[in-house]
Amino acid sequence: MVDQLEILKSNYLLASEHSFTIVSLEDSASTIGDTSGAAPLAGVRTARLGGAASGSQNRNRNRNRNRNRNRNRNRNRTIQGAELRPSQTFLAPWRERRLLHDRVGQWRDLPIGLPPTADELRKQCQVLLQMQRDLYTQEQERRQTEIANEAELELSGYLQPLGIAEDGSHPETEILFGMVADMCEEVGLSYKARYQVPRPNAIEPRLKPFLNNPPYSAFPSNHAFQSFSIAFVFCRIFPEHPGIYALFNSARRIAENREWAGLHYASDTQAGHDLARMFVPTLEVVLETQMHRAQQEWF
Amino acid sequence: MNDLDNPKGDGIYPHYSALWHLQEIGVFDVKTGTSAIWDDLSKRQIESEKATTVALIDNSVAWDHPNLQHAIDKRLMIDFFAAPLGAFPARHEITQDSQAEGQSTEHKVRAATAAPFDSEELLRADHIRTIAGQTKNAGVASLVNAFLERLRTPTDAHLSTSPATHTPFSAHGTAMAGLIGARPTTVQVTPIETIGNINERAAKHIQQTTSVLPYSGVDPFCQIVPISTSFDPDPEQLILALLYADLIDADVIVIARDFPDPRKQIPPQPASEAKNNLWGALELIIKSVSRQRVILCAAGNGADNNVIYPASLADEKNGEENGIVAVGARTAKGTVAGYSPSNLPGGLFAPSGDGERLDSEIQRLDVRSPGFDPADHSHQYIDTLVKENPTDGYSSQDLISTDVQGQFGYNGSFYRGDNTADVTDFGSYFCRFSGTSGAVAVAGGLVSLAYTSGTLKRPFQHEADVTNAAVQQGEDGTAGVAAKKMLLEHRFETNDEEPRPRTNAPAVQILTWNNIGKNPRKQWPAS
Repeated sequence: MVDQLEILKSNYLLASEHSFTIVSLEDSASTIGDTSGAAPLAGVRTARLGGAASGSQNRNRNRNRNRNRNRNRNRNRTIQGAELRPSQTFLAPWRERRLLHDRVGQWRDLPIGLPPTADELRKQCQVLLQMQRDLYTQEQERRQTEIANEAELELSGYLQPLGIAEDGSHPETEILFGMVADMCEEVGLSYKARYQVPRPNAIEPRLKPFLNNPPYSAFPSNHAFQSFSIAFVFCRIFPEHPGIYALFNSARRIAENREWAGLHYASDTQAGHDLARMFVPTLEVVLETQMHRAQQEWF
Repeated sequence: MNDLDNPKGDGIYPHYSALWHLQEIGVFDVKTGTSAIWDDLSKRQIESEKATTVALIDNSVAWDHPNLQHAIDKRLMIDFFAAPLGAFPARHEITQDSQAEGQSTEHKVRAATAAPFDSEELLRADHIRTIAGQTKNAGVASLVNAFLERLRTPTDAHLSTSPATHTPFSAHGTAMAGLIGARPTTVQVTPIETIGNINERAAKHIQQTTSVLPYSGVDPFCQIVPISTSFDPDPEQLILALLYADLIDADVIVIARDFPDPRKQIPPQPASEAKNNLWGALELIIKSVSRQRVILCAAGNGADNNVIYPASLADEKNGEENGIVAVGARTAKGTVAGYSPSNLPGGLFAPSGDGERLDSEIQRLDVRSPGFDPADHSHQYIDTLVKENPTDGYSSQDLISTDVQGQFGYNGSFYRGDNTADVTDFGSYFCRFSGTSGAVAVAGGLVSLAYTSGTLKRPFQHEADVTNAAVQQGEDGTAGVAAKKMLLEHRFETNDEEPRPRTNAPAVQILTWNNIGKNPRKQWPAS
């Protein structure tokens, strides 16, 4: 440690403009308090263009955003105004799919637990019946619209908690969310095929699903899996976002709306959540590039 | 001159030392590059003693950062983001390296999180069981039993989940760890080849192969144990994170985040009884753990006086029954930072960056910002924004800390900078950092230094005669409460000075080494 502390006596890290400068005093006759302009060229190292350039684009990017989110949001819009892209258009993520399958050992057997017994599912159906009755009350009217909108991937439920809309202000974030859903769909289907849990109305005929049953089994819920995966992945790239809990709550509502629609048991939602949580270590490697692009929109 | 004729922001900011905050807290002299306390400690050869352990409950840390390599306890570092009962990132990495030859991916992953704890590491197992028992929540008790079982004899199910600690997405934790305990170091960099004719002197400059990274945390002697969690509103991962900090006998716990307990929101949010009970159990656990090991919590960046939870527990019952300390932020100009609470009876202030504000209480904007145009603003407050006012106005001085190297992190580079190639852009090793996160990391480092120097005594050190049996039986120490008492008594330069309100405030006092470090060891028995 004595040697390491010596480094501080002869070198000086300066926060300079938009980057950093290391001033080495070893080659210099100047005193420590007199480094400005006095140190010879060989004694001064300025951070290369990379750090400097990216810093100057958005000097404040590394500050904790909790306090000035709106200010920065507006700024980002202005900067990116010239390159607005249509929402959600992205090429098939072929590279990411390849990486996903390279790592199949990491995700093919995540311990989500086994599905409940038929007896237990029947019990859960009683709750779903009550939800079916409640769905048509005035109080739950909004859910009906949500369920219809969320039948296919619909990003507003994830963007709104983050204070953005599908207006092209955060195109890379939107693309990321689309890619997450894409990866999860495939992985989720492989789990569904394994367990072959029947949809709720196959067990309880009095259930009349609000939407048609998708043509695959129930456990785990892919809506829950995709929804929570989006929240977990965003939590990896920008955990400081003040809307982070709202994002998780919205993801849960989207997942639970499938129970209200009579398409999923609560146990499917839980399994989808657990799978999402355990799938993050795979996703953050497979989607590293797109996560980084999305992160740049927030830093 | 019309007051709206003030100049537009030119984007030019003053230079400053990356270690300015260490001078502010009296640990380091920027002019001479020396620290009396560090020199003293390095001569004592404290390497042979148990280093102070700082548990950092945050997101993951880029533990391969050159300034952090000796600061992170890789063996104990744990992740609760992905694996409900925890996974061990460094053991994971080590396994990946060692069995690159020939083993199937599946086997690799399973071996990865195999981290059986031996009996010595589980010495405090009964103690955390006792704390869990105090919650009278059967769910918590079985959670803790499952966790201990996982540590003792991990099964295939436990081992099939990897940690979510990919270093590219570890910016916040890396900055936190750097402020607490980074070490100055040097790195070898790969010189970039030159093509064509080039001036000899210029070529020499380009081809330097060693770079010094003259940066240090507040306590470069401590060991940091990163405990990473997600922001899923799930109390179970936080319960395990806190109990794990107790299990590994951490001396100090640093928490920069809030816990989304629905009962603590303003106004309180409805939640199921079962959920509320679990959040209630977490509250009991954080208080109980804090009695033994001081917990420093960020006060929040909401630009209001609502201290976030759990920092808000610092004031509860006059703050005398727990060891939780709230930490607010003071700018380099000595004012309370624009985003920080200013009223912290159970807390203290530490240096950090500033935040812009424009409301009826404070008018503080960054007038150097290239986006600042006085024509956008009103006569009402434009005069108060002048940048040369030394005691008020916006401070452009952020904290500097370690950053994920290469293209990732807060300060990215064109170079990829993963483990296979060294980065020639040393600037990407560092970043600007701010918020009460930064302040709590600085305060955490200062408290750690107090333990390292012996000014404060470790949870069980003051009872040298405490037998292992007593520890196992869950005998409660009160080192956390004693540490808090000492910190609060000495948080201001002079005892009669209270923090002043923000508006036009010349100064708010911070805790400094001069206050706590010079007290003789015996004056602060932690019992």
